[in-house]
Amino acid sequence: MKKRMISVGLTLMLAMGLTACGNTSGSVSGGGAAESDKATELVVSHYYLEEERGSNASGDTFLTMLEKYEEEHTDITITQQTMSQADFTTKIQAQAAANELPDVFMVKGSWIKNFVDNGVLAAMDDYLEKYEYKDTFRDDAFDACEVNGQIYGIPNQLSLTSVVFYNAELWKEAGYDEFPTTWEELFAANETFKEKGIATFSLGNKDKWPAESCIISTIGDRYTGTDWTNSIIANDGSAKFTDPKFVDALDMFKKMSDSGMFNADCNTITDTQAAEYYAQGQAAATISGHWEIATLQSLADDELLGSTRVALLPNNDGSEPDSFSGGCGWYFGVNANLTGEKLDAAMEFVLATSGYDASVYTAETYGLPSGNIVENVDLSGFPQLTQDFVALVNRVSLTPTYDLQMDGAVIEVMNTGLQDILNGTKDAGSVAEEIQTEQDQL
Amino acid sequence: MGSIRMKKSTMLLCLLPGVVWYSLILLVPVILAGYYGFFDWSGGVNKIFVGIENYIHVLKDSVFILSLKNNLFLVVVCLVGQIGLAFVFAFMLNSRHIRWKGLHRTMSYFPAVLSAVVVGFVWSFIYDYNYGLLNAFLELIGQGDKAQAWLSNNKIAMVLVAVPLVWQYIGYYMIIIMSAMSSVDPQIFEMSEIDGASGWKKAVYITLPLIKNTLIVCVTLCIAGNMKIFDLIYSLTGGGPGNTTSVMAMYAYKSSFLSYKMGYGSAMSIVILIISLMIVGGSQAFMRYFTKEDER
Amino acid sequence: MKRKKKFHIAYAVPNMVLLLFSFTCVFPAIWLIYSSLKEKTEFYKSPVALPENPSIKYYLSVLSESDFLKWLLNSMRTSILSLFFILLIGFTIGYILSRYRFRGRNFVYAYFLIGMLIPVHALMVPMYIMFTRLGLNDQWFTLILPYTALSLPTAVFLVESYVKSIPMEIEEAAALDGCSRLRTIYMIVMPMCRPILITIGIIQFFYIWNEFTFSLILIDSKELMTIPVGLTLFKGQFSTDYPKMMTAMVLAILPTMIIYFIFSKQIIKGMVAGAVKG
Repeated sequence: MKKRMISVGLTLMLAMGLTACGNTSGSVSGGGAAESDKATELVVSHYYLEEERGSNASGDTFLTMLEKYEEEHTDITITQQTMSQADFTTKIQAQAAANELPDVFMVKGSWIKNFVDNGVLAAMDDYLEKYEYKDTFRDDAFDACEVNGQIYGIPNQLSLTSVVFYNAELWKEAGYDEFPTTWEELFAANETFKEKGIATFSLGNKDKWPAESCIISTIGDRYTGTDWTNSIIANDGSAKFTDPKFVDALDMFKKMSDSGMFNADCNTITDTQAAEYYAQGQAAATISGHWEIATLQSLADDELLGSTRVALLPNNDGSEPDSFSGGCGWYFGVNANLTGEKLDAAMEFVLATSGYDASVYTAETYGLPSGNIVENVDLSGFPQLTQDFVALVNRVSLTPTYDLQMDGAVIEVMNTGLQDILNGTKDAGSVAEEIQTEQDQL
Repeated sequence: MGSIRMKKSTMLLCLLPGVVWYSLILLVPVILAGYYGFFDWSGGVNKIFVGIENYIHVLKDSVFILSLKNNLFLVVVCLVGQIGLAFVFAFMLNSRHIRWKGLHRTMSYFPAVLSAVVVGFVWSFIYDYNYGLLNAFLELIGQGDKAQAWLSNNKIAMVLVAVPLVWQYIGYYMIIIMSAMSSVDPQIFEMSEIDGASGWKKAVYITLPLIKNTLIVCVTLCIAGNMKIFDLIYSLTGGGPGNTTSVMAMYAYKSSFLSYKMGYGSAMSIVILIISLMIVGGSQAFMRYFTKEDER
Repeated sequence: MKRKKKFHIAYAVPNMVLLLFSFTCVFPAIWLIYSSLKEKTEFYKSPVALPENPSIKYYLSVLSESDFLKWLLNSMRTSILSLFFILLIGFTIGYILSRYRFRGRNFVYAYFLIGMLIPVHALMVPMYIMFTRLGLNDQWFTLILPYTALSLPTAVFLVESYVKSIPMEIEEAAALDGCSRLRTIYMIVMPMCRPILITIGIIQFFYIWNEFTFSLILIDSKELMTIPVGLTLFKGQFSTDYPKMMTAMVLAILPTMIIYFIFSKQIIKGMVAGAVKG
């Protein structure tokens, strides 16, 4: 019996070893870029999961454009490396460190300077110059991927990061026909919602970016103005996180948190769980980005979707708010090691999957804006929420989203500090100081 | 001994494959990390030599020091919780008044086979504010006002993180300790029973000294495991709220991958290794010293 | 009479404690399994209640839409081959370190023990650089390399102390019978070490099966992914569909659970027999 088990084991092992060997011949594709300049294969790395395609407009757009490209270019094999966003972020850093990046990969605005300094990203100006739709790109499309006057990526989505989605029914019951335009009203409304036992805003900050990306990016701009933010991004030394105006912004955020405006477990749930709270009527509003529309559509029932409106966080002086954080933050870049035909193919691929055609697809399929301006989109067929959202975006101007443009190390400290503020364990001043200490090290 | 001698060359041949394999995979990255630690390096081709600046900075970094403290906290809690409880449970299981011994042995080791992701998910659900078992339980016993978002509470977050860790590995140490107990002559226990030694006296004065070598092994494994702990905490809290539950390996990982300070992260990994070596070495010397005293 | 009753109560307490603990040990897995059969809304209504209308729709969708079987095969191949090398190399080195006192012996022993202290997650960048420079990443055998190396310390440690408990006379007798040294080691001593080898195999099998970070960093091709990484593609990052996430988790742990409970007696016997002798 024992012997038989051993022999079965051995056979099994042998069989596996063999299938394993069989595999090698088929799939030694690997991520090795630039080994040859013939354009037969492109390795493309991104975080658009097939599984999430239904609830992710940018993801569906990219995957659709990729499929179209494959159909039109049967001579080129596209090998995809797909990971969830968090895993992608980890892996791409390891690949960059080893200078073993894929041929084409997604890159966040805040990484660009580092990648360019290390010579891993190819400049795109020459190819962009020849691109027939180059004039359709938004004015601010390349803000986060331009280094020393050269462009290193094609925007792949327009990240609109801090829009208030509110449940008009609940606000009406609380005595507000519209979302308040002053902080005083907002704080007063908060008391009413607290009595009803629901949160004013649902927030899911376990992964640390939502508070910064969706709330502080906009409140910060309300206090500091965009010039300050641009100075921080450029690190020219004139703006500091310890400037009273930025500390005031953090203080306002602390006041929101201290007054119980967010759900009590905001530091232990994810952004999507926060959307779920809103969808279940446990919060009167939520502050989130363009992705929230698809998320809410998959989580909320028709009644709640019907009473969901969009608005912006108040201005300090009570005037009609006319800006919020957003812009192009995620790009597709090309490996600097590519040459010749392969480089041409990679550039063509990026423009075909992230350029004007992709924007047209997003606009026509989802009604949403992206990196290129698409004229004459008929929005009437889309849900009211989408129409409202697009109207809002068109009406106001966009200010930089912190984590898409500021240095990653600084953002990491800021994100951690915001969690501390939400938790009531640190005050605005000391968090500002910690962030500035990190900024000083750049 | 003479008859089982082995030729030097054969011995070398036997050792070589393992040593080479092990060195290539583990030693080379450690040396590389030590080397990168001397550079200001954000990943890629540009490296600026900064000497030992990174290493000094690590030792002054308040987040690193907080993380080290958290590691030490986990070491202490797990020494008491994992090995202490494992000893108590093993002692109970050794008693003839316990039923379903086989079942307990099988069940108690089971958590150790689960992945950190699964354990993290299950426990974050236990601690969950709205749906969590802990809050539901408090509600049930009429203490509903004590319900809270547990992992947000920075005062007890480390304790809450330690509980699943202890839970997961009690079985592991229990099995090791039971095996040591099984090698103790049962007559010793019977004699002590005649002497009228009560349960806990039997445990402390008779069993404990007899299995001290095994306990030393357990302590070593426990310290080593907790100095480099990463997975479970990463999936449970990610180090939050703030840096409250950050541990050294996680901070090094984040420095490299989220802050793109690869030189700094590398230096930190070396510092972690050295600190761990010192603590394990120190604890070994400490334990050997005391057990020797005993024997005299 | 009174005395006897007291006696019972005194032993009821430890019995209760152990039962409670054993229960908490398996309950999470049971909870995962039956919750994965629920509907999302049903789950939210009461996360602990049993499913009213159990449905295996998530299982069907994972099995039909993902490359689960391929990942399963990869995980099995990686685990089995790694275990083969861990046991062979770990036994050889552990045995030599236990039986022979040669110059450098203590150094080699300490050298392997240090491996237990290495914070591998903090070393991912140098690790990745080395693997890519040597062209060792993204191959069918890639993961066997770190898994084996990382498991060697425990294996050497446990074998070394176990071999000490085996009397040397057996080997001496074999030598007198004219059995060659290597033959004695692998044909006579190694089978005698079965309990400890099973222990090592079990501990490391579960480690390898669940390992995530190396698998994420060192493997690029979807064809070569192991279960833990592959399933993250399925469940995604931004989901609140708990039953679906739990389905992915159950699928990840199910093979190990089956192995564990089928062989649990053997495993625990091996563990108890194999652990370090006092």
